[in-house]
Amino acid sequence: MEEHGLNGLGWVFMICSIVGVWTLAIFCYKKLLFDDE
Amino acid sequence: MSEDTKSGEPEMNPNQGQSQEWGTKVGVILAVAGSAVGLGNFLRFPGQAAANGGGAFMVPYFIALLLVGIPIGWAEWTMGRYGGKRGFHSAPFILGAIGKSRVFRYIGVLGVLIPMAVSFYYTYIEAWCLDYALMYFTGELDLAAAGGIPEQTARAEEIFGQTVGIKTNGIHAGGNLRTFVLWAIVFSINITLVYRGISGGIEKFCQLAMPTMAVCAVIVLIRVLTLGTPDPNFPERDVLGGLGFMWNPDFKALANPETWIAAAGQIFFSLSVGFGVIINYASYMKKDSDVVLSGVTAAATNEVFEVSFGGMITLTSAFIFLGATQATAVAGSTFGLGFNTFPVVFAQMGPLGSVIGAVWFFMLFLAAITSSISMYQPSLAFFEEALGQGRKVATSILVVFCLVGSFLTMYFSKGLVFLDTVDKWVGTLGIYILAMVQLCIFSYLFGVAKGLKEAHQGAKIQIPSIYKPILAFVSPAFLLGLFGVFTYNNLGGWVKEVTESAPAQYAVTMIGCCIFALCVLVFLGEKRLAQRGIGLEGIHEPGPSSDSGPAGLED
Repeated sequence: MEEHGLNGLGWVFMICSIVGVWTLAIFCYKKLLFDDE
Repeated sequence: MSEDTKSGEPEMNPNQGQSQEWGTKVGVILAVAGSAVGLGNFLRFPGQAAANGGGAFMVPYFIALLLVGIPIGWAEWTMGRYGGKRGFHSAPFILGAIGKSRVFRYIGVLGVLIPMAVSFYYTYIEAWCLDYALMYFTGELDLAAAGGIPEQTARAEEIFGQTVGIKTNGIHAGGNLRTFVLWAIVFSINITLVYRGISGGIEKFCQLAMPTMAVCAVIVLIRVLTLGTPDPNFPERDVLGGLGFMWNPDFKALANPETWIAAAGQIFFSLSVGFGVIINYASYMKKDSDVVLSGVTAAATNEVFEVSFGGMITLTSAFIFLGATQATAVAGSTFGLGFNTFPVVFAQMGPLGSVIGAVWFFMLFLAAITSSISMYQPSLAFFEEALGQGRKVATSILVVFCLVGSFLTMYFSKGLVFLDTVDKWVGTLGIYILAMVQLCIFSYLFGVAKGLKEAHQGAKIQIPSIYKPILAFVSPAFLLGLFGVFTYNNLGGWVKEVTESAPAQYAVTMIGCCIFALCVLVFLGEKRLAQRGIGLEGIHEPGPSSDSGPAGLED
């Protein structure tokens, strides 16, 4: 049976991907809504 | 000419086909993101990732986002707003204006055909989602009583078969009469929203639906992440095991070209580029509205749903309850995962399973409806422009097209061959072609320098200069390569399917008839515009966007 527990690199890829897309989205919405022309 | 367009009825009157605009900056972004976020974010992405290197899949995935998804998106947003300033809102006339050739008006028909033909089956799938949500709300879908997991799986497949009428053609014989009724309701909601207009219908609905969808996703995500180890007989089937199944990287996959093709394909189809929607939606922006940051924001919103919800919920829960073998088996099938496997997963969650099931399918329904309304608007805009008629007449024509197309899709439900054929030839091949055409028009006819200058009007961020060569060479080459591999792998099989299957032939015939009808409408539109002195490039000195309604719309 293959090992399926979340390993160290799995954590890294998961956290980086999720934090990356959220950071991009928050940056964009902040700039769009709150930064003046 | 601008006096003509200024002298019509008040712009808010939807029956006159007057100019429309997005009400807020966020409105257009949520509408584009709503168009992009669909079933594929929750059901296709995790399967593609798990089958192509897990966490390692994210390397080509994000590279494709930067090299293909975002630049093509910028090109479409820019061309759409440019077309809107010229008084055009539909892909044929916008591409004709930018390409400065009648040929592009006819090629641009793809920008109407794709969203319209995809809507023929997409609203049908939307009705399945609503049906499943209702079955969970009413307690009708209770698989726990069926026995063990194999029996529950068989029962889930049986229910799905009945819902879509998979065994027999014909709405009655196929057993999908209930789905037909739900489709009629869903279709009516879609048409009502689109008829109410850009800001009054689509924008208001997306502003409500997108946050609601996010709340539903968070509820399901919290439940999945708190499942623990539900079956003590399988201690390895826990949350971390499920996340490991999805995210543990296999770097060997990066040496396989299929992984890169799968990642590029996922980005490409997920962002709704080459679909004819962004170019239409962007045409309703004010002339100095930002398109650069808006394009990135819409893409980022789509990625939040895809990566942080789709990547965490779907295969994790399938693994926890069904194990690696079954999760692997269903990962590649969007419908199988969504409608056969997930009901079994919810059945293992105990009494709360029905509630989570209802929330999940309601979320899928919202994801589907925010996509489907975006599929009707490009056709509506085209009918208005081509015939010079108001919204009421254009909506009536759209309804006729959709009634015929959707009825055929629902009638030929056996094996979902008809649906599958339209999806392949229009919803896949057509999108590749339109994306390449649009990118070539932007990069080589409009010109990258002029295109970026146009994009930067009113922009809140600058497009980095590295994107000049990317737009000129990298993105087109990337797309061309993807298209070449894709056609090499699939086209022969698709042609064979059409030669061997009558429903597939009916589907191709229907697509051909739609193309012919749309080309005739382009011809009529050209004649009408020419009579009014409006050339390929539309209104030459566009006034404020709020005054630049559909070019010479009112005869």
